[in-house]
Amino acid sequence: MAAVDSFQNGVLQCEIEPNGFDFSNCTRNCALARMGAAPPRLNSTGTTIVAVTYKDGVVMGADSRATAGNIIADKHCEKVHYITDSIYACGAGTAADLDQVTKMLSSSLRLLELNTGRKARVITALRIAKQHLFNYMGYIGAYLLIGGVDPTGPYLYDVSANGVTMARPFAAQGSGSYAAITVLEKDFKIGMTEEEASNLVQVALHAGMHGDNASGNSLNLVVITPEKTIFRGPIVPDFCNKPEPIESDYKFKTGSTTVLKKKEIKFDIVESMDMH
Amino acid sequence: MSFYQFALIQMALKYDAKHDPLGAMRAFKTAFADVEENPDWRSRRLIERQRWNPYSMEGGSTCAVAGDNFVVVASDTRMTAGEINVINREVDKIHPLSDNIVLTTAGFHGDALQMRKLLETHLHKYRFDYRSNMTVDLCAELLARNLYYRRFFPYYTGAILAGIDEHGKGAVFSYDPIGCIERLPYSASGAAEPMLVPFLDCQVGHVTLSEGTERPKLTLERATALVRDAFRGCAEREITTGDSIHLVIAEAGKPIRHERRKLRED
Amino acid sequence: MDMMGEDMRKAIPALGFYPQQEISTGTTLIAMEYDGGVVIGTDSRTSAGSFISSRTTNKITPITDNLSVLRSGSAADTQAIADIVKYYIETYSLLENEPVTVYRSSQIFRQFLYQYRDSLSASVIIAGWDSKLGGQLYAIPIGGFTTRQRSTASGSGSTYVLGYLDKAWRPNLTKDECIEIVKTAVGLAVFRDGSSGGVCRIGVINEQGTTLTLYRPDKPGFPTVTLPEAHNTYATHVKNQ
Repeated sequence: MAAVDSFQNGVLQCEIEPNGFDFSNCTRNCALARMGAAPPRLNSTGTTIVAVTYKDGVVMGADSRATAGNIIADKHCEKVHYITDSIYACGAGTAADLDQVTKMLSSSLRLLELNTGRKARVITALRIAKQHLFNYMGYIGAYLLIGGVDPTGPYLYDVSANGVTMARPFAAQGSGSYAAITVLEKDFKIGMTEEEASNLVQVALHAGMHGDNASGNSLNLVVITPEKTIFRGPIVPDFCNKPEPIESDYKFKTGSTTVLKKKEIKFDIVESMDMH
Repeated sequence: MSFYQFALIQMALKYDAKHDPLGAMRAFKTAFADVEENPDWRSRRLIERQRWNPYSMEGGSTCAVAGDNFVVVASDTRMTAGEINVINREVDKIHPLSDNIVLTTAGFHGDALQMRKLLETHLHKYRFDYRSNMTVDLCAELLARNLYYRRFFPYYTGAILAGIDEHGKGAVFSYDPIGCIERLPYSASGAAEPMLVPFLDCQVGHVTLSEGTERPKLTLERATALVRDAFRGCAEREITTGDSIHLVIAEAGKPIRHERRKLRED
Repeated sequence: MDMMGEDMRKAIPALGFYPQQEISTGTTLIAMEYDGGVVIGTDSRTSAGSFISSRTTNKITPITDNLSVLRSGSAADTQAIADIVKYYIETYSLLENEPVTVYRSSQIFRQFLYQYRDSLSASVIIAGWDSKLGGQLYAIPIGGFTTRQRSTASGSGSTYVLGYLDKAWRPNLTKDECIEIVKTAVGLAVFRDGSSGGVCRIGVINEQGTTLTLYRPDKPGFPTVTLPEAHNTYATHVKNQ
């Protein structure tokens, strides 16, 4: 009974507590872990994301590999997230957090656009993201590169899970960022053309995808200009191709599997639906 | 954690939710109280994180398949730091020790090199003392003993020793880091072991085939093709495996052959 | 300047969350009063562990035309505090239809930094000019203790230059003398402190407003330190190369 009482007291205290965060679910999770329940594994996108500003726009790009531990969970995931028609965000960190944060951003900015009748600014997206992430003290594992063009010009911002933000001419994030940033530091110039910028982003992504185990498979680019937004991808770099195909055929002959039990079910087709 | 609490937890673990829901609830409450008293993040974890760790893992995978008169050993050649950064793309993780013995390792590369040196020294001394080459069975036992000798400060490797035995048959010996030894028809080790083993079970062990089904003979050609395909498959889904395949083929009465094939580099 | 600030948080194993980076509050902030205003100077390095995540950070955050805050500690915390306080000061000056004094601004900062002293890792210098007291600077280290000072330094680089500043400050400094002292101090700190580096940003705040100047290490004007030639460590019979 003593345990039950203290448990109830604990719950009561949490409810009465006037402010601050409630981490009692973490205690619950630890308790479950001690009882032998394995905690679920989070899908984290070990990633290379790169973005560069040029003369009148922004080029952003990302690889397409999502990993769970040392296993590739998704070879073709989309890491360039839509915010508004002229603002996009590349994400690194916890996949679920990135999805939710970018969804939240795009809906709040759309609402703002409808309320004001103007196109949303990149700095607005930045400020909303920053305040949201700072509130959660880094527990929302979202590292974003927010880029876009608004009536005041092209912008690129770097937002960290803690709520640190920086305006930058070029940026890279994720586990492949160390390799990618070396390329950017070497070849970035102020006032590049669109072609130069998108080439630079591609080369930086190649460096990340080549040197980083958690990045690879293919890359996606988005070029944001004052007039329009262009997507390019998936682009598969040479070194991401399988150098040789599988040699043998692994089809089993009919009857290879032992039949343990047979049961026949009679049915009429009343209605059918085409499923893809 | 006091002994009393520990005993409580041990008692709690006996309950299972399916047959004794009330017991499970009580167990949960005990565990919850214990966590509040003594949370993971306040002590044990911190101590664990600060503890000296002399090991590192360089990733990669390796496997060996034994046939009637041959043995095929394969490994990828990537070396990785911290599961993420590629630090070398052409490392040899297969070490031919003599004309009929091949050692292959995954895990901590530093220990792998030390282990190779140790076995080479023993083989050399054996040749000097007995004027003949060591058999693979003997070498396998030697490795097992050397691994267990370091029971409490192990070589952190998943080793596989392969070769041609005194009857001219292929032999594969598989080890855990502290010297548990087993002779198997095929074995795999390393980061992609959970993918390689089921594939070999299916294609070499034929564990899924029903009784009457015809089983293809394990020729040298089939074995090498399977092993190459296995690594191509692993490179698709396992991040620390890639760059190239290194194959070492030992056939009875023939010198050891090497073969290299490209793998994807991302 | 520490970008992560994660050391402040507890690990939550059940969530798979462990704090990543070690504490590192590498920064150099220098500020000094002169007749008619203040001169401020900073480096521009932001690090996350051993990685320099930005080499051109601006640690001088303008609050009004005549008030700036120099940030050190966790970048996330100081950015958030600066945003909130800026909002407060803008509101007050609109409601009261006159600029908020530097002293009062420093007290607003103090309120936040003191109230949340357990959850923040932030230390700031408030530098500004107002018509009542002229140029002023207030130092608020972690914890919220606020003092007005003639010259002050903060961050990991400050240990290398406090003595220099004590020696250099005297009454009735001119603006140019003061700029020279602050610039030299930043140069000295950046030279010795591994956690400070990048460019040198110098600001002057006086009646006319705020002027910011940038000194790059690859362009003239950057404060450099020349050491005497080192003693040769070769054995005596090896020729000096």
